[in-house]
Amino acid sequence: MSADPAMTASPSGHGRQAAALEADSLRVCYAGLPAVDGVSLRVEPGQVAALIGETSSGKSSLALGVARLLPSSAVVTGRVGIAGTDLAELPAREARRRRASLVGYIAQDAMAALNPVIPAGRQIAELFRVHRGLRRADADAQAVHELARVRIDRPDRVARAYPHQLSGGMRQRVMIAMAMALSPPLLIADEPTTALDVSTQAEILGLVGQLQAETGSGILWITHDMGVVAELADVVAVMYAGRIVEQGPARDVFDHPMHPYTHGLLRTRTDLRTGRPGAPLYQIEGSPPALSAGRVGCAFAPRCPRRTEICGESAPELRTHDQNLQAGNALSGAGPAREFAAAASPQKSASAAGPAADARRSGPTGADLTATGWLAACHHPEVSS
Amino acid sequence: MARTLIRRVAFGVIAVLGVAALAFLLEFVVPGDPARAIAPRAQSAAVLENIRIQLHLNRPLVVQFADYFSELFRGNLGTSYVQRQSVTGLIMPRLATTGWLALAGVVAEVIIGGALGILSTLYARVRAVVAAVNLTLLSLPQFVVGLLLLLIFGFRLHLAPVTGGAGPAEIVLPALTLGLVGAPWYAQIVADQMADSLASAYVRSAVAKGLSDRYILWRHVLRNVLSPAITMIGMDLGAYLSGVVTVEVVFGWPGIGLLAVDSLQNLDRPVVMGTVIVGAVAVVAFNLIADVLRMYVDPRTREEPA
Repeated sequence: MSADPAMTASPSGHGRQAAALEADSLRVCYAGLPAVDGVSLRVEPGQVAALIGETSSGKSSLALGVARLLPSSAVVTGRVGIAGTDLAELPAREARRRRASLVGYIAQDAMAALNPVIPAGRQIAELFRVHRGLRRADADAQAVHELARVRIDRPDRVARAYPHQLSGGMRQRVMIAMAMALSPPLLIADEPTTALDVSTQAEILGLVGQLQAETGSGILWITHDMGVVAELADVVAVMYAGRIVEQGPARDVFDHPMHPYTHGLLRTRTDLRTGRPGAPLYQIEGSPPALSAGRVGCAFAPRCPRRTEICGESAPELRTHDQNLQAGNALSGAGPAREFAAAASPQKSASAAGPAADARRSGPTGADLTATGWLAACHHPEVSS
Repeated sequence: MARTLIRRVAFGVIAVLGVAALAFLLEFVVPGDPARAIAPRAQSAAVLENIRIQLHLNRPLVVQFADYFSELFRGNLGTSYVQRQSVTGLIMPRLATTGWLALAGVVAEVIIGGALGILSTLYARVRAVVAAVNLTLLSLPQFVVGLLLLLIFGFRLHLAPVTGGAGPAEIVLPALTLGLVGAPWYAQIVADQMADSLASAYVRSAVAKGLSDRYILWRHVLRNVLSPAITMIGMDLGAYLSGVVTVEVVFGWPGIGLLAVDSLQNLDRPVVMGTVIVGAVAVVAFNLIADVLRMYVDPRTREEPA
């Protein structure tokens, strides 16, 4: 599984161009409990950012929070810029109108996400009627064109079919066509291949790669499938209990994960690939914590093999651990100026690292760093030199 | 789809015949002598016996049964004992009269129930009120609602006629009675289906597409409510056509329900049989029509069952 070079190419000049997605301190709370607890994230145009983590780690809440698609019972705070626009700052009606041109959302279960009583093509055509003011016949024709764009043979037939008459892969293509119809700068894919068989999964991944090369959208790809990450992602963010615990260029995170949780996640995959038949699969002991307000200490500590006293006392900040930043990592903007002495010793306490890390996370430079640097939120990151 | 339809029609015919057979047997369990009902003042046993011979009531039950069904298969429902008129000729005008009432009643309950359901789903503030209204209507018997309407709008306000009959003015109160009593069911399924639909991933997709609330409500949500509502409308139309006895009695609406009651009291067996069979046919037919309509609005029901 090798990534398409067109996709892995690092986007140049992102400082001048608005990021496809720039989330800053995003929080999503249900009934006062944080499902997403202060996440900052940046996806450049043409980049695939993979967001990985277990079920209930807050991935989907993050995705829906970014697209402002959560029900009103969810409280979303923080700034989310999509190609420079924050939907939350627009009046509700305008936000509603502009959302589809800014962000395409590909749901996990295409069967549920498509209306069962409306033909597939019509559901795409609606976009052109509402946003482009096309007449029904023209919008329908445009929908057929969009279906052809996602490599569907006989798109006219698929356009007339109802969702239940299509195969799982075909339904997901319809979803993708729908999400990309207005060529939004950001695509959010919420585990879109989970429900598909392996060969269909590969087709969909290939398709998304090709389409992205054509359109240059930024993609936030949510998954718990490491294979998908390896195939597609330029950068990876690992989420645990509502926070990002490690993020960085996909290759670095894969080869030298710093956070024990990332380590565990990757080990489950390594075992599947190289493990001897009959050998027990590696699994991370325990289960993720329930949502809670005012947690003290590291959320992963109860399951962590490297935990010490400090882990129960203070929550680690997301910060760089510089000795990992080797030349050639293509971390534009994260040069030696960001050398961070406090992180030199992994045993250093968070109280020392905290203020400095905070300084890095706030402001435009902080956001820039989160996009391109390699960071982990751990008191004892695994640091290889 | 054609195969499904043929199967449904066949089941329907079997159901109607089963109902007819049961009704036929039931009439012989009911105590009473039709001959005495026809000639209540006849003194001599010979006269009564003569009537029985004329009506073939002296023959064994099995023979009468066979006779009745062989006539039925020829489309002959027999002749009324009391009115000396063909049962078909008696029933058909009554069926049309009841048909109007049934239709008006279903329209009323769909409008009232649909409005209650939609209101309580979209506006949280009226939800408790709608629930209370639903519960009240559910717990009121049909004749109470009918008499209340008659008292208020007929005798007090003189807005509606109180003398009975089957004109356009007379239809309002009985239709409203059916509508009010039937509305809670529609309100409930509309509210349930809408709640499911509004929470669904496809409505989220529609929101993500930037469609307006009104558009989403009409094109995405209510279309998904239509299917169960149609099923219920079919059941109601069939049931009402087979006789809305209480409402017809309260309002003096000369429909098939009144005819059935009168015939039962007169032991007019052929007419009772006729109303039962026509009612069963109506139920089967309207359920079938509802199924076909559902296939039209919900493509998922079109597929042949495996």
